[in-house]
Amino acid sequence: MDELIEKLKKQLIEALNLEEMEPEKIDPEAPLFGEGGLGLDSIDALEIILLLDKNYHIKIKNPAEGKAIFYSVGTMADYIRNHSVSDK
Amino acid sequence: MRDVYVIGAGVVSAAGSDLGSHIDSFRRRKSGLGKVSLFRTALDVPAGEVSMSNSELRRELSLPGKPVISRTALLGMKAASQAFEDACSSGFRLKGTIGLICGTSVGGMDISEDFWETHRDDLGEGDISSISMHDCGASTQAIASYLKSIAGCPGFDFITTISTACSSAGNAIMLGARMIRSGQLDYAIVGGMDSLCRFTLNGFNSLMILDSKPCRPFDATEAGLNLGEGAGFLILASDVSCRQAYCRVTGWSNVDEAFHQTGSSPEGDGPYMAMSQALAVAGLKPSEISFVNTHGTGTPSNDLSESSALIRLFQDHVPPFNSLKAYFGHTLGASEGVEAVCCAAAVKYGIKIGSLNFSRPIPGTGLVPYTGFEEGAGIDNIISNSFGFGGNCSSLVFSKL
Amino acid sequence: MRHCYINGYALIISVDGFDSVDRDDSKAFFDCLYNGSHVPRDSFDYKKIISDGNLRRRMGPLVKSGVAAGLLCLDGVPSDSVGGIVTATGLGFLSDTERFMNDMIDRNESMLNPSPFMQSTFNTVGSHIAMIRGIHSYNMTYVHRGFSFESALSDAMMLIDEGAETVLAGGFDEMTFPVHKLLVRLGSAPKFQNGEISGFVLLSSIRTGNTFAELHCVKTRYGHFSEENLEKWRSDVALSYGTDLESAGIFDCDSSVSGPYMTDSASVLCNALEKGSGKTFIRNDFCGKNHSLILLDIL
Repeated sequence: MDELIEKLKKQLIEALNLEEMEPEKIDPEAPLFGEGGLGLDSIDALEIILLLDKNYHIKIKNPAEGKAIFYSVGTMADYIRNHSVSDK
Repeated sequence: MRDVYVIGAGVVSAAGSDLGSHIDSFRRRKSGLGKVSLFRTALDVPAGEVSMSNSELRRELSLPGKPVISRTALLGMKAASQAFEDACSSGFRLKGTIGLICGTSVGGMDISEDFWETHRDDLGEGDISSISMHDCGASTQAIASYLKSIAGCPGFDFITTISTACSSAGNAIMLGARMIRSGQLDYAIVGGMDSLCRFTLNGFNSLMILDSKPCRPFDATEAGLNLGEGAGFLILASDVSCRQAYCRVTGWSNVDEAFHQTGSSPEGDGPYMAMSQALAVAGLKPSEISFVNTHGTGTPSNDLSESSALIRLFQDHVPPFNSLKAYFGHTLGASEGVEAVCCAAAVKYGIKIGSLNFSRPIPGTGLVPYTGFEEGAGIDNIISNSFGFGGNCSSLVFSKL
Repeated sequence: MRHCYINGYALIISVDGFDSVDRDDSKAFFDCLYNGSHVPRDSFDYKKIISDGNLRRRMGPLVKSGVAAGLLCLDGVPSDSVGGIVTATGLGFLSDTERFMNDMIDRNESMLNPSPFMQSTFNTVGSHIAMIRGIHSYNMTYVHRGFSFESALSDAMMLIDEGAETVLAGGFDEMTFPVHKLLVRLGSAPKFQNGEISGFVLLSSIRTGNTFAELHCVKTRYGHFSEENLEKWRSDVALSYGTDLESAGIFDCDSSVSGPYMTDSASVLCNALEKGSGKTFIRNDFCGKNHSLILLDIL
């Protein structure tokens, strides 16, 4: 079990108020945005940028950059591992 | 069905304290954007502040030191009373049924945010009368009292406030036009007012759509908008003897894009529907439009959407168009009030007003805004757009007499 | 004017913190009045009415209540027949506004969540209903104290007169404990200190077997007047529609369970549609300056 991925799932559920979603139901490889995934949108992207800044001190200046980073929980975890100054 | 005339206009924004100074700013291609100086904020972004402080505004409006009046209302009083005096000086006397319809997005938030910060831990403290200006209707009623008691307007048979975010003033003008056309009102004082405050600055900052540099509408490098403040009011009339009028309001439309709460569709569905339906109300063909005053905020999302709509509507014959946002910022609920005044003057005097900060077009659209300045150009019909959150899209058509 | 009928209505009340003697303070009050029947609390479920979870999860309490009441009215109505959605709110989405304001102060204007700001925009309910139902027509929001709902209703009537087949009109407001405290100090506070109330009506140019009422007029009058003067104005309005105040039923705002709040007339109208009959007036005199009369014929 990947601890960072599990932690991220919980943080996403809380930050985006995904009230009906259980962490186990989120496939780390499935797309978060658009149809076929969790159906997140551009406002959620802004909330995720904030989540990364608050919890991992990662700053994303341009929301357009987020597209590839936030593709899935897995891609987010990879990005955090490569960029975080403090991922405690 | 009665015709709708514009017989008076008043405006205040970062680009000037009246209509004449606005035209002068356009002529000199001078932007009013600068640093926020009238209130403290942690954000360092350009904004379009009206250069007068609240006490300077009060002095000019001959208002005593008390009670507390929101800046939104003060700006509205200035522009609305200018419009009223403008109509009077052209020989119009407002008699019959009169309406006051204002658009605003923040109301008295400038006062509320200070009150809340100081007293939120003990709401039993503080000058409670100041918070009574919080709601949007309070600003409109303050303007009504001012027009009646100081400017000499006879009073109001109808009064209301519209808030549809950034299209608020456009919708207020549209309601006034509809009520005059149907005979419910003989005169309507219509427009909008909004003051800058930390609440909206931070709101737009949280949406990551504020540009840290002056906005560049329709430019390939555009990266967001700058907020502004101000007010703009028109006096609408059905008077048949309107020789001194600015223009007629011939078309209007409001539609909902129903696409996304804050974003615009890349295909420009909402702007396309709003402009087409406004043309239909006016009974005009696209080829009869001489100029388009776009909403043109400088955000890639808005400008792409609006460009797509222009191309869909006008195809290979997109008329000259501009965005005024780089002169005074995006004045939110006031924006179409401020810009409608500029459009009314543009029709009356045949002025083509140019965009600022443009160097090369957005890839894919190839649209180049008008960037010059010309007087006596002969303008028959202008479309003016304003779009708000929630997919709220409004278009107005102003036509030569 | 074309005839204008009320073919549906929905009122959702979810409030608590009553301080009046005839109510138990600890008890929250819930009611959903929908086209003449009361939906019991156990069978009322926002998830069933607002089925899009992705839209629902960001909604604050008043957005959820307003959108639900609007969607109930539109149930079974084809989207392309809706010529407008016209909403009204006096104070808007207070919970979201307070949350954004507090975050802004606490976090010194940095790292702010965009959702509460976005939701604090006054036209959020109208635009969400449009988005959920794919309704592209006219979408308007009025925010003028005691005239908010009256303005929405008279605009909706104007749209029917201009040719619309159906128009949705509604009013909603919420109360939070802090804002209630401020309103008490200002001398005009509702009886509930917390919660939200949303009332919507579906107007139509067509009378059907399900029509509840014919709406005759919405009149507003602004300013301070003597009671005699106001009474004469009301009589004149009644007379111009062939009736008089004595023989018509009168429902007053502020006398309802909720006490004075800016869009009270929306819920009073819904209550009148349930309880009233024949020529009926909704009378509103908000803060001594916003006077209004709604005249309808309840079938």
